[in-house]
Amino acid sequence: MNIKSSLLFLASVLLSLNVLSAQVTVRKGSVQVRFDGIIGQDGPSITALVREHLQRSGVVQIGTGIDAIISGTSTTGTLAGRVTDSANQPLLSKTYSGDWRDNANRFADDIVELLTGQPGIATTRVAFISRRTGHKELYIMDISGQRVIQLTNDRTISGGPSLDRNASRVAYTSYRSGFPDVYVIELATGRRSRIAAFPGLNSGPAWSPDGRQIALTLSYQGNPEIYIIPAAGGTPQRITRARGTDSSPAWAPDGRGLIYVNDDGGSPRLMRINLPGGPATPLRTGQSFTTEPSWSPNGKRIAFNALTGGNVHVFIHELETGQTRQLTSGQNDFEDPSWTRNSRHIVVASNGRLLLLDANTSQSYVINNELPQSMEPSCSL
Amino acid sequence: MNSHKAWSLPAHSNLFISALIVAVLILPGCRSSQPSANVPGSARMDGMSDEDLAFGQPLPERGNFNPMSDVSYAEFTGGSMTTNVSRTSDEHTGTDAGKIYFATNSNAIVPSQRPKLDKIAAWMRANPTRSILIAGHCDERGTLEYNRALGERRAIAVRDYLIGLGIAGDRLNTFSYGEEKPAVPGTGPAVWAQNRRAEIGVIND
Repeated sequence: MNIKSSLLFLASVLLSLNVLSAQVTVRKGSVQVRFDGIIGQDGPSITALVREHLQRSGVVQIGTGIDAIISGTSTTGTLAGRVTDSANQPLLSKTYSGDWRDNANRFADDIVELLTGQPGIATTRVAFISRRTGHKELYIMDISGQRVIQLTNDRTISGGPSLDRNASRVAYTSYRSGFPDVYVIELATGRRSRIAAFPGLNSGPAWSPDGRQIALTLSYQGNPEIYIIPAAGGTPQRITRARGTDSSPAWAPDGRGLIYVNDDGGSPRLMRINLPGGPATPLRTGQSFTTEPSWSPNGKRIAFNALTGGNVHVFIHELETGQTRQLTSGQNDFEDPSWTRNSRHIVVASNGRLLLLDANTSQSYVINNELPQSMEPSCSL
Repeated sequence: MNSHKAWSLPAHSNLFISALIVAVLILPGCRSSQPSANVPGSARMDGMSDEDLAFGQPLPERGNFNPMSDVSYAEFTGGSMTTNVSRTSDEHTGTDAGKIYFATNSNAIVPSQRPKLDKIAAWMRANPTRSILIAGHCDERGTLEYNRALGERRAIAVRDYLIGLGIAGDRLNTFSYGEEKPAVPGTGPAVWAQNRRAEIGVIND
């Protein structure tokens, strides 16, 4: 089946269901679309946002419309989005209700998924830290940089946020009691609970994929080690036993392993351990001074930081081939990579700005959140 | 039961015994890799091997104080604040009395820093009701979360060393600022060397 006939087939399915439910087999790396823009209420803003999402996706090229034509009409609170093939046969006709930004993000994700079979990332939320106020406070925003919400106003040190997969809770470290403790904020209610306040360090929380547990660093037994605690707090289960510093746990997407940082050998390096237990083995990346791993949602890639040439850069380790390549370069630091749901794009902090990186093309895009000194991003899935 | 005399060991024997107990408890879960070269000095006593290190001693319960506001760093002052970075390593050999300096990525208590800890131990013996906060710090290089953990590891290295000198562990509280509170602003090797430190403060009565 060539793409046109498969698109036609899809169109008939979608016309009857008016629901996005199928994928198109694409014959090349990206699809060519014509974007006619969104007319009506907030039309220019919606057009710009959808266009930006499509351009950053790396899989949709806006041009002549050989594969699809995109248009839409908005009123206050609704967006009627349309995708047709080049012969004007409908592929998608869907009305979105809500804030215009939500509508634009959902439409962009539907377009990407319809045309490429890959998940779109426009509806991703990002938790992060900014020192805009002079103190490190916790924020959350859309991956476009819009709709920034300041979550804390504690005038102390906040750091290391981890957003759960559906952007409903954020775990992070705060010194608001005077001690470094781990807290969880429920975003719908604003309710904050302290879930780890053991002697010494409580830091580096990471949500398990099922949202029931949190891996973190605790030192109360006399050394910074990785533990797992229930999401509501409770008795820690110790995972690592090392002499040096263990930190920065990242979950396997199936919840059955962790990659974390250990510096027993001098420089920090990445270690892998199976859950519920097992020996810890080094992840052989060929790099030294490696920290802050992030495990891609498809399970195949580890993004991490390595100090090289005096700067912190992002590297990608492919678990299937064992190969590692450097994604960023130059005289800036690129810290704390966090995968998005498509296992292709990464959000990273660089000199106070947050960037979206395409791990396949090495393209980078500034996430313009208009907040100086932004850092430590964590993406929802 | 052994005779009383058999237990009249030097002051460090309790440490030694508890270290052995700790070692026995943790060994089954240990990886088989060799102890690293940087494991150091921290808490190592004469005649003890790396395996005997007082590593992994539980931290004391949090006291009723705020470590960010109820601690005085003025007690241990004196010595030269001059930056003096070793040419053979990147250790800061500064003698500033209340600051214990570290090499990059390291939590080892290097020889140049040990006399300061001897003095702090003496002060603690002379002031048996007081407790201290050991606040670990890192230079700006590396990532924020790793530095939070490394700062704590440095504080624990100092704590273990003082325990090795006979100070009770429940008087030794640890804390990590990560890279949040550099002693000196700026960048470059001399600045970094001054910022890789553990600061010793006395917890206010």
